[in-house]
Amino acid sequence: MHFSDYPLDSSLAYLSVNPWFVTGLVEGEGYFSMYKDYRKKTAFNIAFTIEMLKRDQDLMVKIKNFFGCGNISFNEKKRYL
Amino acid sequence: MAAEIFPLTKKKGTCKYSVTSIQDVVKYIIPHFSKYPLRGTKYLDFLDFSKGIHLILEKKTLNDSSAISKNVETILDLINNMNTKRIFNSLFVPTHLTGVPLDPNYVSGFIEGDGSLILELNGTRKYRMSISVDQHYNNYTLLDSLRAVLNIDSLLIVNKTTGVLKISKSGDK
Repeated sequence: MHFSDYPLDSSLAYLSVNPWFVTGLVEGEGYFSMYKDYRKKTAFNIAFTIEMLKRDQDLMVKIKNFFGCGNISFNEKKRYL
Repeated sequence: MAAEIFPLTKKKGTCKYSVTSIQDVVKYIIPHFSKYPLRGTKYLDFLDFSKGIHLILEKKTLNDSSAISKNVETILDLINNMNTKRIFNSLFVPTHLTGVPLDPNYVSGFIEGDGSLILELNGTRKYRMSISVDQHYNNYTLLDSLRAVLNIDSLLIVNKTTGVLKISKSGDK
């Protein structure tokens, strides 16, 4: 049986992500970073990031909607994580 | 309907979701991970990250220059000892989650992130399907609980010096 013969439940596409799924994904692909802003004497920048291959951009949009904040950006040249 | 097949691994490009606003992190990100905690070594990075943000916010209320430089020192110290710079003296055990079972959704999220699903030709007529997750040796406890949930007999230590652990399960068809 070819994989395309399996019916894909189109209703799945509209499901929002489960909070434990988000934690599991971050355990694998997320990172928390802090760094010194060297332009200013005592300033720091922070970032919470999840980076995946471009094919997963739909998932990134779901994660953004889940948290209700943040931004999505692309790096066209990078191939591996 | 013919399926379109993309050579996924050959496609370039990554997609990044990031939150850089301290206000948003305090309001949305920290509460999520307090309610649904991480279980691996990343939990420690989350704790340091939260502590750092607390200190960054505290700095804004300080006036005394020696208090400010002490605050900055403490933040720099956190930065220099988190993520890849963290040194482990013993294996990390998630005591904050003792007795809390792995949620199935956590398992699928983790495999989405760090797992691989493999289909390969085994000999000429047989196919082998396998699921595999690689982790750093420090995450032994996490991978071992994943192993139990997936009903896999043993953990495979690929290389203890570089610290790669693997669980994999396969079946022939």
